[in-house]
Amino acid sequence: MSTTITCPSTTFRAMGCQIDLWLEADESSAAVAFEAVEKLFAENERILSRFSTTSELTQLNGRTGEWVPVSDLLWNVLEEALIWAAETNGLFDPTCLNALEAAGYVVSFEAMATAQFNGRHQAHHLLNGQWSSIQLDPAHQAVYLPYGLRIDLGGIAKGYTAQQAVDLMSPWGACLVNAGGDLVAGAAPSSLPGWPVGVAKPSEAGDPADNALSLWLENAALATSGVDYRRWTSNGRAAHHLIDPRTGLPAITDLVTATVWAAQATEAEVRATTSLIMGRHTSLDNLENQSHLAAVLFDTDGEMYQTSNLGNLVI
Amino acid sequence: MTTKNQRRRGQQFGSLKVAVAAGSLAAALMGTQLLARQDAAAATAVAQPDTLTINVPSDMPTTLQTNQAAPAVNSTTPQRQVTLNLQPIPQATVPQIRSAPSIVRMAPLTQTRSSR
Repeated sequence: MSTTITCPSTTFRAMGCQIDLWLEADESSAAVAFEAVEKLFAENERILSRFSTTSELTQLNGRTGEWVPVSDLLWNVLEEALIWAAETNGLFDPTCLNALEAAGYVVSFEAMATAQFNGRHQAHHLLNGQWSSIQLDPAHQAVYLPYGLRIDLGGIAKGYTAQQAVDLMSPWGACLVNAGGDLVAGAAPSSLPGWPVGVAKPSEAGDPADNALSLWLENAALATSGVDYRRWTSNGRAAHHLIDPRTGLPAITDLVTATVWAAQATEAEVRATTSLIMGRHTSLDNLENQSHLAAVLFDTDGEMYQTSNLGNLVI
Repeated sequence: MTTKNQRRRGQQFGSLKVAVAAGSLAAALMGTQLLARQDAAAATAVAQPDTLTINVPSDMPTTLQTNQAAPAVNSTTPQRQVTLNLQPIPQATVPQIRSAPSIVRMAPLTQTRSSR
């Protein structure tokens, strides 16, 4: 017997990627919820984007060496990013923006096809690995970035917003968000154990990605980091968007994609990124030792590896 | 020279031999059929219980006690051994039919992949 899910859904673009929403509710309720979520993504992008010259994050990055009061959203996301930086011993590092731009990621990926990288950003001191020197003043909700230190909240900002979207839609019914390939689910749809979702095999830009396996997703998140798509050539050298904070350069890794299941979107996002940087052996050991996580990894030979507890989720 | 009585005894003995032979043949046939039925019964039986031996104290009342908490019988009590050869009870094999899962295939609604 084959079953399909039929419920209201919508698609829009935000944060440089496609956002898809599903909500098990009547059409009029879903329309109200979808509009609220689209506004949420737009508002969060307005505050957290590093590509917009007027975003609050860009303003903060431009005022290093002084205390800057920030909004609730920027405060919360930055605080969470720093918690994860500490948790991963700096392998997740929100201070890699200088290194990222030095690698050529100076405009949004959509605009990179027409952008010419001229190396002007290489003049920055990289300053990656300096996350612990950022100071937070909770009493005044103010942030102090040391001189020249700039931050990027890209992936964690997207995960944080997707989780907010699920929290926003959940009172209406079971829901699912796909934010550029990162999935966050609320309650399961009627008479199903979860939302049926696929884990894509690595694929080049423009290619449709076949699913390697399918999972049930309920009140959890599934994030994928990869070097199979956001990659480019900078000054004649291949580069990608995942910076290894230990070197300040695009990570040299034997993994092409890392997909991590976690209860919260921000953790799934962080674990996927750090797994890719660590490489297959270290990340598999690390993930197996954390029973609250499950993962699927693809290496450069096209081999798939998965943690032992993933079987509980497989359809 | 054979007397009349000797001839009569010889005829009677011959009839007896025929009757014994016929009886043996009939018994052999019935035995074969019985063995075949036993084999069939054994094949359909779920379990072949071993011979059950029950040690019954000689002074035990005829009413059986099934309460496990009953005090143990004194080992010095003289016992008699009753051996019961119980035939297996033929049972029909009940097929284990699982109800089909409600969802055999579920196409993924969407997929996780690297950011794009």
